[in-house]
Amino acid sequence: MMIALDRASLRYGPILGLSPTSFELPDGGGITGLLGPNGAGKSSLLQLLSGLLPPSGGEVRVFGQAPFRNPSVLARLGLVPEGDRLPAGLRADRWLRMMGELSGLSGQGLKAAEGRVLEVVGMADRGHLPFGRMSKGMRQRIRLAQSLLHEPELLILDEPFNGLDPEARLTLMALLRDLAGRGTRILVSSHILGEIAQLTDRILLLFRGRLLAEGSVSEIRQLLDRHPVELRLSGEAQALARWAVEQPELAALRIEERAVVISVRSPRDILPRLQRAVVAGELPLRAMDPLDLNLDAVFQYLTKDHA
Amino acid sequence: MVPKPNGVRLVAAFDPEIEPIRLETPLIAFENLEVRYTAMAAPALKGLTLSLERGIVGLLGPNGAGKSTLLKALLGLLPPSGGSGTVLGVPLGTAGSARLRARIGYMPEYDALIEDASAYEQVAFWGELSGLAPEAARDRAHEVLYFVGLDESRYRPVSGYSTGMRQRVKLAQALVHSPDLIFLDEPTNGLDPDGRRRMLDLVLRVHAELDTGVILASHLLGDVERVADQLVILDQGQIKAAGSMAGLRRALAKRVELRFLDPLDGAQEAALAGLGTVLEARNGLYDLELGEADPAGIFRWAEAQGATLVQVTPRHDRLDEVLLRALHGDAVAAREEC
Amino acid sequence: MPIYAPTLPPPPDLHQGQPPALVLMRFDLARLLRQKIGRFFGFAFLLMLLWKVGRIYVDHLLQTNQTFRPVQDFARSVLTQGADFQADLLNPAGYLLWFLVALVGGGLVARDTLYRVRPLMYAHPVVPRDYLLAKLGFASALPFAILLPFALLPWLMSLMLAGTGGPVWVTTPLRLLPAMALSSVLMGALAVGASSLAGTPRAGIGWVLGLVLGTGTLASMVHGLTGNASVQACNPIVLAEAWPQLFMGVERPLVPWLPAILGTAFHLGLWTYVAARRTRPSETVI
Repeated sequence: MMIALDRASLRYGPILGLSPTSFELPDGGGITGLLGPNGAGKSSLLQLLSGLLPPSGGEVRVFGQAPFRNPSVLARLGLVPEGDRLPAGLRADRWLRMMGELSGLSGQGLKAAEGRVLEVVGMADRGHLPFGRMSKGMRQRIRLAQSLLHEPELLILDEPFNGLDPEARLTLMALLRDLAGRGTRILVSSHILGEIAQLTDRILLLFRGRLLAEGSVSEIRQLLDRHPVELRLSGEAQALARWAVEQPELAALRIEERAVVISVRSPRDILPRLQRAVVAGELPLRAMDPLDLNLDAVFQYLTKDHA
Repeated sequence: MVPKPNGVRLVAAFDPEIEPIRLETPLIAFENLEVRYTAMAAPALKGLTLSLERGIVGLLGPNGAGKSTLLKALLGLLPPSGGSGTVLGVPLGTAGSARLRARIGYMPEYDALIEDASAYEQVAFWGELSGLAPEAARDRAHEVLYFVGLDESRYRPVSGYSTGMRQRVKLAQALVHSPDLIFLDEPTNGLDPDGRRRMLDLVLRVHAELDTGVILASHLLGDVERVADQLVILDQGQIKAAGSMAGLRRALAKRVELRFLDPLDGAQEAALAGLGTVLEARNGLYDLELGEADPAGIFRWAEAQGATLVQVTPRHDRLDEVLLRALHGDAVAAREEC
Repeated sequence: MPIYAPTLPPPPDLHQGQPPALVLMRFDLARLLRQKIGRFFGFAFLLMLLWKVGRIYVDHLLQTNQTFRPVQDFARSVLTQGADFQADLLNPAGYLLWFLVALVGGGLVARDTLYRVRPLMYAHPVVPRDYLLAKLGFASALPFAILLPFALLPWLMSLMLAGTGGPVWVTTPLRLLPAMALSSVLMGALAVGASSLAGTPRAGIGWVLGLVLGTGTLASMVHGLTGNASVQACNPIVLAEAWPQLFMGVERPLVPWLPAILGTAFHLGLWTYVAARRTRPSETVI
């Protein structure tokens, strides 16, 4: 297991950061999104994982060891903390070299690593610029480059998209996907659901200091069986509605212009039947759109249930 | 309650100097508009030709694209140095354009709040600055604060407010004088998913219930996609794309997106080739270019493969594709395709 | 029976409001009242006022009561009268008033800079001239309002007790009010100018105190070294004190007419210019 938490909790004096939480992330590449409203415990979890703070209770294991003040773990993980505070007058490549030296690199190895990470983030020709003359997106890329110097197996990013313009966002996303494809495990926190949905399907959802859900969005959605699934069926509304009312799983039906929106209780039963009806030519269906299979809806269901 | 004459705003009845605004008056109409900060400087906005209807306009563009210059031009703070333009039917650069400011609401990106005053006090203050009589401003402040959903906390100084409450005070401030147009700069900044949803709902209500034109500048494509009906993409002081959302996000012929109840196994994925070309597969969503565009055929294929479809939707341009194409031309769009 | 939608009701009429400068000034006044710094200053100024009025009453007793006749000559030598006495009516409030102006005025512009509300103001029907007018007006009206009872109350009491023969002349307000106005505007302009240089209200207070005490000390030092009294025309404290003396016709005023006029004009011009520069819309980019 790359990451294993066993009833790990974090308190800052009397203030709760994270309630006792247990979960595991397997080895191998991939992106996991860390979601939650403000104050849900995202930063606390990331601080525990990146070894900045020891857990108040329970156990945190990264690469099988406790990460707090443990160089053998820290050497294998990279961290991009939140925020955008870098000295304006400092040149990016000098800063990278300094950070590389902190990671124990030197000489030719450092030079090679610096060139490699600048290449990865697409800043090879702009590394000599001081931070003051860079855009926010460029600084964010340099901050990412810093975390990649020592070729970590686990990359932790706290709110990396904050304040970036759309294009910089897309570039950064493509970069992360690329890294994940090459076998790096990436943990990204964000409170913008759309961004996470574009990046990955696997999420950890924190709410009020505890872990609410873990898994892929569609898996989580299936576990929420108390909430009917909403589907928009486009086609000839009258005919679609006639078919839908005969189904025992139907919970609600709304007719729109050239579409019906149906709420069904167990999609596993009704969807194959719907598919057969279309194949048999009984159902004039042109498009089918699940309205609440997305991250927004899942997030809303989960947090509303626990509010 | 005074009956509202059809299509004419009430303001007009009391101020003979202001032309009555008909609903069909475009929100903004620019003709080759050019704006400079000083006579010597290079134009900050150039060749702006634009016509926007009263609706919700998403304004996209990188940092420094000219969004704040556009705002200043709208407010009549920067007269055009070339071309012409009207905002709410008022020509820019004329004596009347200074009065535009009373009819435009502005919600800044940063926290422009008077920290030691309560929400109620400052909303009333901004109302008075826009030209409401003192008593009317106070009544209106209460009404607007209810509209944005600030209840008891309105009497406490805003320094103790949460981010969500602060954003709502800023919105109330922009609405207090019932403007015809509001300019929202990153209204969902710093909000969590719930707060963001509520803010966007408010933006939709502002347009639907108050009939106010909205310009929404945002870096979050999801926000713009959710609320906007028109889109303007600005870069380096020029308009790269503008028009209705539906027009810009064109439907792509023969392209569909498919999702299945259970993940496809390797053999099934390979069999997708029989249906069409898989252009992209991410998180269980397949983007296909079909051989023949027949929805029933897709279902037949799934039935034959023993897979169950959950999603079959025609593929439209995503907003990020629209943006990239606008900013970099078709070169990038073409690269994306391969 | 009509049913109204649960939405924002129809708007009230625009263009019925007060001028922007007045709205801004009223908001500053409301803030001042909310801050409750008035208690200490109110008490201190009240004591001073009582002392002034008390002296007039004592003087009246000395004049009219036969039992005090033996000490009258002595009293006359202690209690100065005439122009000096009347110019002095405004004086003791001096340092305390400067302190109050620094405390309140120092935050006037700086607070708007800190909260970044000025760009939003200029997005409303407010022009920089309105803003400057409001801030200067408020910063000047404050000392003026505090000095007003000092000018009027002793005068009124003197008239009531002793009529035209009392220690205060009938025409005194005509001389004191313009002097007060000049001193107040000087204080206001300095406070607003200094405040516009600061980024926070606290720094603004520091700027005002620093500028006033700094120029004051410097001018006094140069005066002491060279013996040239007209350098004191740069000293705002002395200037504020000199105007009542000049208008009352004191024999040896702190600063003569010409340097006083030049000094005041210099300060007014400089600080108004500084404030105008620092509150331009281009500086506060939206």
